[in-house]
Amino acid sequence: MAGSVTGRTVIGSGTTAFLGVLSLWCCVFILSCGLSSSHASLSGTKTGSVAAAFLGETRMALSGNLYMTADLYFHRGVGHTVNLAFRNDFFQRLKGSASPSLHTHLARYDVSEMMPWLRLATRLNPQDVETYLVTAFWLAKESGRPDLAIELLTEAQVENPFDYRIQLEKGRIHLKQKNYHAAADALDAAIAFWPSGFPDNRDTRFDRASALLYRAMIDELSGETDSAVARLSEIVQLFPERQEIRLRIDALRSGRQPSHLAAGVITDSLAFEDSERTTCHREDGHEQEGTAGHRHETGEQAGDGEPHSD
Amino acid sequence: MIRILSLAWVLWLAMLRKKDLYVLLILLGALLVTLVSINVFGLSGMTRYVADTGFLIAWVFGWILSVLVSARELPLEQARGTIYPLLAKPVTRAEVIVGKWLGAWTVVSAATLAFYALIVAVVLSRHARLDPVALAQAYLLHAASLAVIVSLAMLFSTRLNSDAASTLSFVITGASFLVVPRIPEFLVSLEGFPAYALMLTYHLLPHFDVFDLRQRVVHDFGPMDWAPFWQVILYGSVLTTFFLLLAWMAFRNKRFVRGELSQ
Repeated sequence: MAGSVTGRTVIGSGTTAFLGVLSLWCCVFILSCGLSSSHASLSGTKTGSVAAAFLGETRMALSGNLYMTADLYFHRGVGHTVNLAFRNDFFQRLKGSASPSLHTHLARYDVSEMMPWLRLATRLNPQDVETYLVTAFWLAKESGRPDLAIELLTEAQVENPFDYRIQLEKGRIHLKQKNYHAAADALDAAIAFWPSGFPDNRDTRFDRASALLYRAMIDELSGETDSAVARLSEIVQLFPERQEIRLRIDALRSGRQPSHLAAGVITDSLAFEDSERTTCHREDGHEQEGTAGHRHETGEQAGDGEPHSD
Repeated sequence: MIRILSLAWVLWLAMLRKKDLYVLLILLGALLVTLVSINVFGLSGMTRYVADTGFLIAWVFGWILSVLVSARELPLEQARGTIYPLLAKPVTRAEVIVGKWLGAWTVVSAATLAFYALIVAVVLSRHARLDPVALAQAYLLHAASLAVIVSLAMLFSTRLNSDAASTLSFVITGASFLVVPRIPEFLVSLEGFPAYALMLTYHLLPHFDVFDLRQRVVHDFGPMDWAPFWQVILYGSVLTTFFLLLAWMAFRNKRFVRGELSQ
């Protein structure tokens, strides 16, 4: 009896183990089928990322956090100034000695230190075009890799096909490389895609005016004066106060060469925009978001004080 | 002193037999390797994110290890019954407390040193460098903070079982890390009782943020001035001594009953 009991126990435990392994295998099989099908369906989705599917909406918060980490790196680990109920007590003084709070930026050759965080941010939230723009800006400018910037913007374009800002940024980078043909294609796309669902406000109009100005200058360089005049006229419709544009149109219509040559206008405009975008708008006592290079936070400042274009 | 060192050495031997330290070291190594293998647009030479993440992980691991190692020592002795032969020896309860603390602190500090060495090795392998003086200061202050954590966990373990002591230690040290530095910010919009409660918390809990030199090391600010450095060391020493004193007061008159389960 004991043997038969033992036999039943042995058989029972063996069967149990076998059924346990079988059920585990079935679970894994079902899970792998589910993952495979979800991955296949994801390839047709905007994100195309399994990680993004797992994280869900959390990825946007994470992406934003990574972007802010990049901003923190740009400021060498110094966070934004916040309002405090008291300052300069014993512990705060010690902490100030341990963790500097000077408002400084990364040196030029160190700007690439931000890139890992920006790369991760774009991976997590490919629909955040601003992160792509900031990353491409720094890749092209300080890291000296416009080729990588164009690659990145092409990746952004796949995820955000009709966003004019990506094309405008591509146009700027091509202009800096004096690839006027590629710049013209990108700027045409930017003008066609504008406003890409954004409200018609001063910022977006400024972007359209920038694209039109660059495109007009390329037309001038190519000798297509009529096209250039048409584009400049459109700028005047957007910003009637731009007298220098009106003067340029008059000069072109009368066959005179404008005093400020087209190539010079392009160079000066690009330099002005770069200086605007690299201006840090973080002020002590005020909380402001964004890494330098992100113009849209500047709000009022955008669109003012462009260089002369005649 | 010999007795204290002997007690500390026994703890060392026990820790070397366990796999905790090796697991954490391997985990840290794996994480660092993963970080350096990230393809960042094909660019090379970036090391700050590796050092920053590495040091953050070192702090987290050091924190976890400190609490777990120190919170279980006394309850474990009691649960196994080894507390009786220990106290039967010519060793005072104060020496038991100090010996256990010294053993736990040196073990955790050594593990942290191994973490730092691994991080520095990875940074050097990418042809970058960290300021050695700032790094040394960062490690010493880190070790000072671990001394405080170990002494706090040891204090709780004199009267609680290891699980409760660990939990309470994690909660209090976690709040000290995350909440205490932000209390001046919270107080801007608070009044009355909540404000008083927060101020009490601000002054009661340890300030671990003053021990944190990661920003200086990672972002190349150079070493901190020596005067505030020694002030922080003194602050850590005072806190550690205070917690050990409380632990001794809680332990010295504790009655141990055979058969009582402490874990």
